[in-house]
Amino acid sequence: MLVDQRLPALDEDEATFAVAAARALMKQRHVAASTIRRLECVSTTGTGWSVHVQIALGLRHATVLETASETVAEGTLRITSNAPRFGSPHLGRVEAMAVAEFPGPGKDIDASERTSRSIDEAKATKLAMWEAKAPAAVPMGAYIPKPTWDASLDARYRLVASYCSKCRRGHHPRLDPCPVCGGATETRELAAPGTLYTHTVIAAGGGPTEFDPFQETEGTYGVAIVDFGDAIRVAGLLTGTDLGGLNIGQKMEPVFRRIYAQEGAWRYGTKFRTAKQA
Amino acid sequence: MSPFGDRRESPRELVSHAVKEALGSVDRGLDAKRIEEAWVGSLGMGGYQLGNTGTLAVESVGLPHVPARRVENACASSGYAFRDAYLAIRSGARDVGLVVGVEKMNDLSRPHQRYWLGVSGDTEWERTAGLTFPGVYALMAKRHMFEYGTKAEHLAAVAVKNHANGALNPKAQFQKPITMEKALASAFVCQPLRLYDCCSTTDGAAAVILAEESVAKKLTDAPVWIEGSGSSSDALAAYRRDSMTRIDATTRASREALRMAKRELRDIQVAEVHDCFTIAEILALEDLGYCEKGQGGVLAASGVTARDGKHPINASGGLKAKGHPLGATGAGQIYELFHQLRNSAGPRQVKGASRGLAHNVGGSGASCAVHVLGV
Repeated sequence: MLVDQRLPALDEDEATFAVAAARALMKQRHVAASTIRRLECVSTTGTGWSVHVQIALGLRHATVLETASETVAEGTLRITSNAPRFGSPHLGRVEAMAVAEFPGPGKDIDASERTSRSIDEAKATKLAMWEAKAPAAVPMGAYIPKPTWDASLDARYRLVASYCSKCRRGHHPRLDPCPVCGGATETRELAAPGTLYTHTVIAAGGGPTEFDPFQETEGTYGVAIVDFGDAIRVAGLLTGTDLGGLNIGQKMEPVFRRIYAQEGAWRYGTKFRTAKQA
Repeated sequence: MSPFGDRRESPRELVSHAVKEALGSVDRGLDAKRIEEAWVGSLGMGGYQLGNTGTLAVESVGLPHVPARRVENACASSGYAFRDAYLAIRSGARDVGLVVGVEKMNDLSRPHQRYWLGVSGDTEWERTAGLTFPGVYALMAKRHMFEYGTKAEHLAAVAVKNHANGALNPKAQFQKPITMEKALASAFVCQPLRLYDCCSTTDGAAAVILAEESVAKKLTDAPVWIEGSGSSSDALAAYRRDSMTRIDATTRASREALRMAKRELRDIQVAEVHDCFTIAEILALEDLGYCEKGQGGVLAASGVTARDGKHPINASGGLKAKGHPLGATGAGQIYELFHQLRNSAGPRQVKGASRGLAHNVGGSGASCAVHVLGV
């Protein structure tokens, strides 16, 4: 039985849709993050995701609200994002997608990351099960504690790296001074797209335990090493990509997704997919 | 060395078995009380005895007052324990040392094991990208196939050879030969690596006794000499190294060991290399210098590295067939070379072997210890 097709994948939610829509809008309108003073994150299906969007868009300096204000202040970015899950009352009535806009006279709306996938009930049930269970999962051994994870969010959400002009090598996450020559480094966001250096497909039992939810719902998952030049490569899961159709050397684009769940919350980061042709 | 495999014995019992055999291998006998210091290689056996594992080992062989410590470099733990003992004796500070490697992995559930197989790479940046060791080595294999045309058959040839050797090793975890067809038909674990490209989880212990030269000469007429020791580190995350188709730590460590021994690779007649995955043996052939970069697959399939070939590699069955109890593997390699060089390896004896090389890697190449032994 096919379930209403407007469902997010396990690695998507309100935050990931919101980041994709906002990034697309900001790129299209050539809007720099520094000019945005207020971020409004609105949703019918879930709350608490605005902080991840704030960090992913480079808006730590901005005010964040989880409602749409009635009087629009200048420099406001408003994102309406919904991700109804299987079993929720919004299923079938609210579409999984995000709309990003700079509200004001003559506003221009940009929407992206609309999900329209058909999945069967068994898979939808598994997704719902992991949705409920995964964040509470108790690690069975050593793991990255939340404070250490939180300290790396700029590197994970925005691919912030360091670059040494003296020896012309970079490092991700950023390291200062340069670990190779000791020179002073500057910070930069890695510029998409990257180049596929190598990749693999992980079958059940071939990965860390915290990725079992993805394997139970998707069967396998892919991992890529993507080269960004200046001696920087990044490891990341693959998403929304035909795992059998990849060629080393092709272009890969980074996207913001859920990575795995631990210590009571989903953790986000950057995954990769085949870059769309310009 | 205890049998390697799925063992019911506790870590203490495994250690006791290995040390007792090591003491018994001293031709003129050695009173255990003469052991002055101990180095114990172990990753941590599921984490329940991370602290004071050294003491656990020595008290289980009736030496509770011998100074001991755990040495850890993931799968290279006992290779480094061996090196540290060697350096202590060479320094003149000690005359007799004990090296133990021990690991118990199969008393953990499979998900729990996968935690322990996932904390020796870059936990923050490789593991959180969905990678444990099969994944990291799979990425290296895929790139090696891309750069050099290495084929699945080359990988499988390593497994077939090592299982054939393991069939002659009564202490090996797997003692049945396998066919190329079976290897190539097995399910993928992490593409392109299949089930038979990956070593299994193993329990076991191995022990080695080292002695200063004049002491050794009194204990036996047939000592095995440590002629060279080398080691090196490289980036923790495989993807941060200059290349993912080389383990530079292998090349640096082996050059140092051979230089110290005043030998060349062609002087080595038997070698135990770190084949945690079939691709790892292919990389080792290249990184040690048995062939040109990129030719490791072709060499692995050529028969040259068979037990009766020109360069026997992993006559013991290697990690693939003998097993890979993480902290014990390095000491297990020394155990094999000890017997090969004293002509006591039985049916898997490499004829006339008088000089051997042990190659022990930690993780995906973050650390590596190489030793040259000779008689």
